[in-house]
Amino acid sequence: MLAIMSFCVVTTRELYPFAPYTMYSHPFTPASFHEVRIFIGKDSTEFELTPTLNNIIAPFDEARIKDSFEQERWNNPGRRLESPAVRKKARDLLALIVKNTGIEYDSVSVAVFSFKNLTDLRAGKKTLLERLDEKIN
Amino acid sequence: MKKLIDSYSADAVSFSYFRFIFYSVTLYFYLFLNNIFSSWGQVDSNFWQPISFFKYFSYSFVISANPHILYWVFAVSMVFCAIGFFFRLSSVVSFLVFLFAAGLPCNFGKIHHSNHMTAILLGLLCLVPAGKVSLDSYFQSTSDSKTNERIWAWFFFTVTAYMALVYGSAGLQKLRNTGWSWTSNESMVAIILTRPTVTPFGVWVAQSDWLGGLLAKYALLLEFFAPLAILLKNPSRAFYGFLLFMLHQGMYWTLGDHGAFFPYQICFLAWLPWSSIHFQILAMFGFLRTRLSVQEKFR
Repeated sequence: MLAIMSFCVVTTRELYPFAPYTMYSHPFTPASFHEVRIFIGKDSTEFELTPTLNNIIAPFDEARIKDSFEQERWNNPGRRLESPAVRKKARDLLALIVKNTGIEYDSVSVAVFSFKNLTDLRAGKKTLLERLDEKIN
Repeated sequence: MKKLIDSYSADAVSFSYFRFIFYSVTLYFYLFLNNIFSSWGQVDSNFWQPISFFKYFSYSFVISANPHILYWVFAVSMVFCAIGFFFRLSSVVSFLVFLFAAGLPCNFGKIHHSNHMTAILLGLLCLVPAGKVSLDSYFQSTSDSKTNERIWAWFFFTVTAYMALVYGSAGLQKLRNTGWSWTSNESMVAIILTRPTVTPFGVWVAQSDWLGGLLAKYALLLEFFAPLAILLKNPSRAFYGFLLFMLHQGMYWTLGDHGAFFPYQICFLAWLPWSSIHFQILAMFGFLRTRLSVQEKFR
């Protein structure tokens, strides 16, 4: 057990159920934080996906779906949202929501926000970095 | 080393207390507060990013698992474990079902570590006898030997050592990935205020120019030195466990329900001095009996 745990810690690799347990260890600054927000729309009105709406994206939860997009963004060149993989994920998410709710939503947008400094963070003033809109006819 | 492991000793009855409470609380949490048994069949394979353990299974096999069957197999096996009925078999079944069900969501976008510790504990429990207060013991009427006491001591030592190493590695990772600047007030304020479930108390902490930094220094030092707790004797060891337990409670009070902190907290049951608790209970009943006999005399 000790050997496997040490291996996970040193290599930061996941060997389920053993893990490196990073527990918020990466640098956190207002500027380094990138928040993914998802908006679902129908007939040009939209609402934001929040933790209270987890039932419409079940079995996902809001944190997991956002991380999934953020991970994809990190894999893209220049850490941009715009890519076929992100668009495909956005369409799959929309299909899941339509299946769960029975409502024909027709657009999904993924936006990335950040904070310029500590003052903005404390005031909750977010800066939009980029936004990707995917519309389904 | 032998002396160290002996300091974790537990008798057949006190281990039974731990077994009953641990399985009952875990069962309650995973069935009613955080149901991990959901079907992933409707999610597109585009989201499938298998972690180590699940690379050995195909996507179609994994999503075909029936969550209702898993739910009931887990529930029944956990109840059997709690009461010590067919303990050898039911502990293995509950561990394997939990390993699969708790690991499954980790293949879809985000790895939550909160269930890993519970999985390890359930795995280790497969290797130990049920204890005296169990249906197995009642039906088989076998007396527990000294060997069993050594196995339970080994179990509590291994769990404590594993958990202490987890917290030690969390402290080490913070120093490795960010350095001492992780403990700055700005870093802690950023962690607190960027959680979507931040509580009013968390917002209050984040408005301070020094409180966040102080809490961060305390948390980092407590985690980094956690492996030393293995060498401590009770009640100091249990107290260190309590401080780590409260670390999660503090995170819950500030960050809100964003992370599932309760599974970590359940595992701290293994840090309690069960033998002492058992003796305390015996002493309490002995004390009550004495009082009752005195009352009888004066009636």
